[in-house]
Amino acid sequence: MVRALRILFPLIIILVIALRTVVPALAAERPIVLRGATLLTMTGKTIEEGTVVIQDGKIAGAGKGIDVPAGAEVIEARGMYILPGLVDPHSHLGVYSLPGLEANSDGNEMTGDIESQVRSEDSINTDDPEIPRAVSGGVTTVQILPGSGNNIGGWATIVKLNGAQTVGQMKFPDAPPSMKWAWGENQKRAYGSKGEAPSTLMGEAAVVRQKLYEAQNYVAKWEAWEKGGKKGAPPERNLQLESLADVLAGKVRLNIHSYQVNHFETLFRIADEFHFSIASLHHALDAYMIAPEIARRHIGVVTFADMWGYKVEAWDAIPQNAYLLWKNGVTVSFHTDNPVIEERYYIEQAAIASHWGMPDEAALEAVTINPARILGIDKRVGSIEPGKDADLAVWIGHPLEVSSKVDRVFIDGKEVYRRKEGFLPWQGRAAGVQLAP
Amino acid sequence: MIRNVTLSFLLMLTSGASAARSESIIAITGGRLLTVTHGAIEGGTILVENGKIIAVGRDVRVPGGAQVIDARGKVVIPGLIDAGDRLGLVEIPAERTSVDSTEYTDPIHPELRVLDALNPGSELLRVTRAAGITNALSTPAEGNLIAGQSALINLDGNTVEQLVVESPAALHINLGEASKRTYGEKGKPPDTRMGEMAMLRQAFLRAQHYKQEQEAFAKRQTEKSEKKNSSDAAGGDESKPMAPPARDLKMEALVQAMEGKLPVVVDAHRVSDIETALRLADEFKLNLILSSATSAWRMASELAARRIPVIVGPIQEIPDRMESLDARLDNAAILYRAGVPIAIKTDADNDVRELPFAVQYAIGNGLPRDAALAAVTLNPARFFGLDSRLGSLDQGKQANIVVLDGMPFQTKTHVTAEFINGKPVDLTNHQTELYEFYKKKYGLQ
Repeated sequence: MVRALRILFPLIIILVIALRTVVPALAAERPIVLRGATLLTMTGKTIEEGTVVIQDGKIAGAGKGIDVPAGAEVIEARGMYILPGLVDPHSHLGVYSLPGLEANSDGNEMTGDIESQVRSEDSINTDDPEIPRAVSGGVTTVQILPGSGNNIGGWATIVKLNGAQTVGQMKFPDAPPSMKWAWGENQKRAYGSKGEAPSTLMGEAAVVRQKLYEAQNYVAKWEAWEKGGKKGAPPERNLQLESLADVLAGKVRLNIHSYQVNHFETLFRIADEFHFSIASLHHALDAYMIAPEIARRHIGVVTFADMWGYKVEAWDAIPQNAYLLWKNGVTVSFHTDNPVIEERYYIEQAAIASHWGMPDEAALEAVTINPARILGIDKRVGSIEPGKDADLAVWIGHPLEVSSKVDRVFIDGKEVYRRKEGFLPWQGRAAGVQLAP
Repeated sequence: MIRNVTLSFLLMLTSGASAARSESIIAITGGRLLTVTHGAIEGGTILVENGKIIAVGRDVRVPGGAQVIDARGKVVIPGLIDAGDRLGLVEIPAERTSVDSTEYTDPIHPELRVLDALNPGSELLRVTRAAGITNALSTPAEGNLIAGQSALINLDGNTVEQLVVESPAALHINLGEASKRTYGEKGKPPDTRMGEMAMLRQAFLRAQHYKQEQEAFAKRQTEKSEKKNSSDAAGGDESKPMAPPARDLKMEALVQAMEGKLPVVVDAHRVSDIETALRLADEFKLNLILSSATSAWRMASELAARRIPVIVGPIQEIPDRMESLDARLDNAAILYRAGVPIAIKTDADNDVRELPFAVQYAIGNGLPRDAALAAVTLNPARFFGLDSRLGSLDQGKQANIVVLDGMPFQTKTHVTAEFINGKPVDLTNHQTELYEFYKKKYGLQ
């Protein structure tokens, strides 16, 4: 019996492959075709009356006059707009679950200023009721960061809002390692008010530099042990320093919450001193003041469209920050900082920027392809191109008018949202806190 | 209306002094006027003089010498009113020294007046008004059960007096989580919703007694003076003069509310808190306006039947509290369709200027455009008894007018001119100055 199976199994495999080639509709998932919509591709062109073909979770074709594969499910989308699923590079979804109860506060490990050892994936609540709301706003990919209470906040997790039950199933496949740092008022307030370091910007720099020295020493200790023929017991592993060693080795994309020019400058000094690079400055409300320098350093900026004046370091914010950065050639993205701005209203960031003069295409790129680039996941998401993940939202009305509505959302080719039915993976599921529609 | 204009035109021709007068007239001509009270007028003209609208219509003649604002191809609306925020009370929310919105010393603070904390120099006023928002109901924030008295303000003025349109505009009560959290954490009442209502009822009962004492004293005084008059005639009175009952600021404010002279805005989120507000209003005959009202959509028909005005907002309320799990984008639309009079508030400070986006969200979720405009103009004016002065493009009203380059609330619509009290508003602010500097630095036009 077992032997028979051993022989049969390869045969079955061959048969399946043959069948898939001959009759794709039988073996593969049935293709979905979205027909007649305006495609906001985020590749520099807009296609009127375009067609998108979704097959096996990927975009198989996108453009005008694309053939509809045999047996495809055709969805008429005439008069509608298709935009890639929105990519939010800065959110606390799941680590500050709704509602904002003490029990749901898992975003800031407020027990030490250096928390490189913590990972947001260990805090994420996959039942956060914001998930369906976010998808109803066209958001499909989110980077979940620890909060900004600590100078070094911890590891980020990039997820798809596919409605899966576990973080493991939500995780963006093969996303580059990514870490959250933070600079400015929050950290010195959090620790200074307890009479602990840091209580000034000088203190923040000193605490972080000292810790990076420790990481260098830690690396040296391991190297010595390895060079010495790995004799005796290896040095004790230290999660905190090991994580920072990855930073020093250039293996980590750093996302740094910071606001003012003096924050940016300190960070540049430290990055230069320790020879690592910064992937992106987050919030970065004053980034427009040194836009050329940020462009020269190839650092991305992840910012609010308009979040002025809520604290001193936000006093010089202007709603043209993103526009001026874009004009200077900086890769610029918006974010929600959910729950600061609720995840579902991410598109409003692009609308506000558009109001203040950013061209439509640039404003929409700042919620799709640019965040994907900043996170290093643009090979898979952020634009409508053949071969990319079929993460798409169909909009009734132009997405830059906030009265417009999302009609359908697809993630990895699966329809996960329909306007009248809501979030399909959670249909009839009553776990967690129940919200109004 | 037209007659008035013609009359002033004639006067101008016949007298030397009136030439100077017509120079003080501003004419906004040729625009699409969204009047709020009587529909849209295509190619209409508005005349403004001495801070007031003196004429509105298609056939209004522009007096020679008037300052003309060409609004052809533009849309003209009454200035937007945000029906609840903390403008003038908060400068930088994270810096306590710049925050004057909650007096955290007593849960019962009816005597507090926003008037005494307003800062006409606030940069927030300049930033906010640039978005076409000319007025705001500046209210004390949450934290206290009875929070104080709000003021309806213009977002332009060098002094508090110039800022204020009406003070007090309303008395403010906060039910629900915030009040009990503020004091409960300190081991003081209120610590529960039961505690909140008991304290409120006791405060109003005390005010009833206070009023009775005041009335009894006044009555005795009258009787005494009558008696005195008669005893004077009889020749002398031996009784000592009686001291009046001590005046109490807290009680006086509550008495005003019970006499219907001061509307009472009750901030309540969940159904049970809205019901508590209704019970309180019934017991003490309060002129009730509901605010926040997250769950109001669940009781829309009841609120409509009782004609309770509701200030909805923020439109994009996050369900971040147990009492706000019912937050939904079509709350305003559901209430409107049920016949509830609605206004919209941002409930914000530094980002009040996003109001137009919030209104557009409400429109996208079923609120008709005209109703949405009324919810941020005439309706809030009416709620606070100011509809004869604000909220529409009508003769005799305060000239708070906004000229737009498109339909209100849409993404690509911008303010091109604005008037508060008939005066052109300076649309520059801290942000426009920064933008101009860096635009120039980077060689952008």
